[in-house]
Amino acid sequence: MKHETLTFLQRCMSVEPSPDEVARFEKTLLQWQHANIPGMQRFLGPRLGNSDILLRPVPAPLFSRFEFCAGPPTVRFRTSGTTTGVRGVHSLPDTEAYDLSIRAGVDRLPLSLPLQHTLTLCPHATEFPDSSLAHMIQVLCPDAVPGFSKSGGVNLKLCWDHLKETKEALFLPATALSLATLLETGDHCDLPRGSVVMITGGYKGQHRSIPETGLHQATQKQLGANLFIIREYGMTELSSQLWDWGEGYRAPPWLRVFTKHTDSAGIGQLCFVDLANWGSCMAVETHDLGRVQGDLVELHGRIPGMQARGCSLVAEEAEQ
Amino acid sequence: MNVEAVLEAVEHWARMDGNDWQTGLSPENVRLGQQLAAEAIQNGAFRPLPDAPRHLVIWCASNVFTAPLEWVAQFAAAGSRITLKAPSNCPAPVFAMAEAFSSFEVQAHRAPHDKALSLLEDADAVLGFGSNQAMNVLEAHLRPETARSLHGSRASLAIVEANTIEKVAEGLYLDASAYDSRGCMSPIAVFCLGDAHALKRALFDQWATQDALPLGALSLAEQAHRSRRIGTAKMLHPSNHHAGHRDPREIVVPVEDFESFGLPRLLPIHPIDSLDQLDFLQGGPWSSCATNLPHEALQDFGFHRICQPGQLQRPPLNRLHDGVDVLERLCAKPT
Repeated sequence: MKHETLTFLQRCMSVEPSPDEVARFEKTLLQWQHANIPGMQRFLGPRLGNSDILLRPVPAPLFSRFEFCAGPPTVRFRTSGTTTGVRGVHSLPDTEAYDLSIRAGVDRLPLSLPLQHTLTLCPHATEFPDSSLAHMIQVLCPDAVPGFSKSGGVNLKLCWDHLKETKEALFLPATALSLATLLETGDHCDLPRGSVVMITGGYKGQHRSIPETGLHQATQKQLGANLFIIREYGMTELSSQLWDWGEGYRAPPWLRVFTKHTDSAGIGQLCFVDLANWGSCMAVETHDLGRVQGDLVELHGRIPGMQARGCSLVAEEAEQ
Repeated sequence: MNVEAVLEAVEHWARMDGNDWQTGLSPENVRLGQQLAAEAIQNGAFRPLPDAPRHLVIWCASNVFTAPLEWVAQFAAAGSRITLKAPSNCPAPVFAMAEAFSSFEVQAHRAPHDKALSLLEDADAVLGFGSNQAMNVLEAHLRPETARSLHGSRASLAIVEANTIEKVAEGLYLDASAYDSRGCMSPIAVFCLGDAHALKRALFDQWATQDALPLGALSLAEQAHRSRRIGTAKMLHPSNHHAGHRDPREIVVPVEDFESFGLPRLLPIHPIDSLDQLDFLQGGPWSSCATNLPHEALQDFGFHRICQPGQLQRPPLNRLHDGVDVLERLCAKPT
C-alpha cells in the first residue's frame, strides 16, 4: 500500500486527479487499513460498510490512547505537550509518504519559498524530535537557523540580528505566538523582496490571544512591505497540510476536507481524509470549526468548550 | 394558602405549548418534562410556610427548564413575591411560568448575569441553580442577612444488579431520556453487578425500538465529546458496535473509564464485581442514585436520594434537595 500511495502522490504532483480517482483510492485504502491496521478494525468494527469512514472518522483524542499503525512504528509524532493536556501520538511505519506529501504540498504553492535561507521560529527537530511541525521544517529546510528554543523561547537578539543582516530573500516559518513575541520588541527591518513569512498554529494560547489581522499588519510593518505572508494549517495526526497564500486555505487533492454537524451558515466540525496517512489512520475528526466552500476552507477556531491545542502552545510554554 | 389557585396555574403551565421555548429538547420531551413537573406538585402536599420570605428571587438554570416550578408553586401559595431570573439562553419557559402565575406576584426577568445581579438587592431570600462558578458569583453579591439556598453542579448515578433486566432498562431509559440527560437527576453512568452486556442489550431495545422521546439538539461540544466516548468504547469492546445502529446510546466500558460528567443520551455501563470497586465515588458531587439493590447497601456514598430506576426524574415534593431542606432554609429569619 505504501508503494501505491507514493505513486498516487507523485502522480498528483503532475496531474490533478479526478474526484472519481480520489474516491477509488480512498476506498482501496480504507479496505486495506481495515484489513491491516488493528486499531482501524477495532474502530470500524468487524464488517466494513462502503462509506463507514466518511460517517465515522476517528476522533483526534483517540490518538492519545490507541495506536493506529501498520506494523511496528519507527516514528511517533506527539501533539503539543501542554501542562494540562494528554498528548496525542501519531505513530507511523515510516515517513516516506509523509515527507513526499510535505514537499508536494509546497510544490503546489503559486510562489517559490526561499527555503535555502530559513530562520525558523518553530520548534526545531533537534530539540523537539517528536514534533510534526519541527519535522516539516526539517524536511523543507534542513539547514534552517533555529530562532526558537525549548529553554528560552524566541531568541530575540539572534533573530533580529539575522533578519537585519540578511541580504537574500528569507523564509521565516513561525507559530503565531512566536511571531507575536518577536514583533512585540517593536524592532523592525526591511526583508529583501521574495521573502516569505509562514504563520502556523492558533492565535489563542492559554494565557494570551492575538488578533490575526493585527499580527499580519505588524508583520508587514516591521519586517518590510516586500515580503509575502502565507498561512499553514496542519495537525499532528495528519501527514498533509492546508496552505493559504491569500485567498483562503486550500488542501491538496489527496487531502479531502469535510464538516460534520454543519450549521445553516455552513460551519461545522472539521474532518479530514488524508491519503498520505496510508500507514496510520486515513480519516480524522478534529475539534476545530470550519467551512468548506468549493476548494477553499475557512477556519473558525476551536469548538467552544473544547481544550486548546496546537504548536502555538509550545511557544507560549517556553515563554512562561 | 391559596393552593387551589396555584394548582390551576401549574396545570395551565403544564398544558402550554412548549414547542417554541427553545429548550433544545424534542417536543415529546418538552411535554414529558411539563408532565413530570406538574405531577410532582399535584401529587405532593404543600407545607405551611408562615415565615415565607416577602420577596424571593429564583435564579434559574437552562438545563432543566421545569426546575423552578415546584418552588414557584410553594412560595406563591405562601404569598411570597417571586422574581424569576431567566437563563439567558433559554428564557421562554420561565416567562411562560410567570404568565401562568399571573394572578400571583410572579415576575420574570431576562438580563445577562452581571446586570441581573441588581435583582438581588431587595431580596429576602434567594434560591439559585446553575454552575458552581455562577453560584459563587451569586453568593458574593448577597447581603449577609439574605436567606439563601444555592445549588451548583450535581450528578446522579445508577448502581444496579443485572436481574429483572427489562424493568431496570425501562426505568433507566426514562431516567436518561428525560431532559436529554441534562440536569442533576439524570444518571451519568450505570454501575452494573452481573451481566452488563445483557443490560446493554435491553437498553438498546428500549432506545432502538421503543423510543418515544426523540433526542433534541446537541451542541458541537456535546457532539464532539459523544464522538470521543463512543469511539473509545468501540476501541475497547466489540459489543459497542451496533449493526444498523450508528449512534449507540449505551456503551459498556471498564469502570476505569468512568467520567464525572454526563452527555446527552449516552449512558456508559461500567461492569463491576462488587460495590467495593466504587469507593472512589465517595464524596463526589452526587445528587441521587437509581438502584434495584437494597438501599442500605448504598448509604455510604453520599447520595441525597436513593430510588428505583425510573424514579430519578420524579422527585417528590418536599424532599431534601441536595440534602438541604430548601423551604426551611429560605424561610429562615435573619438572626
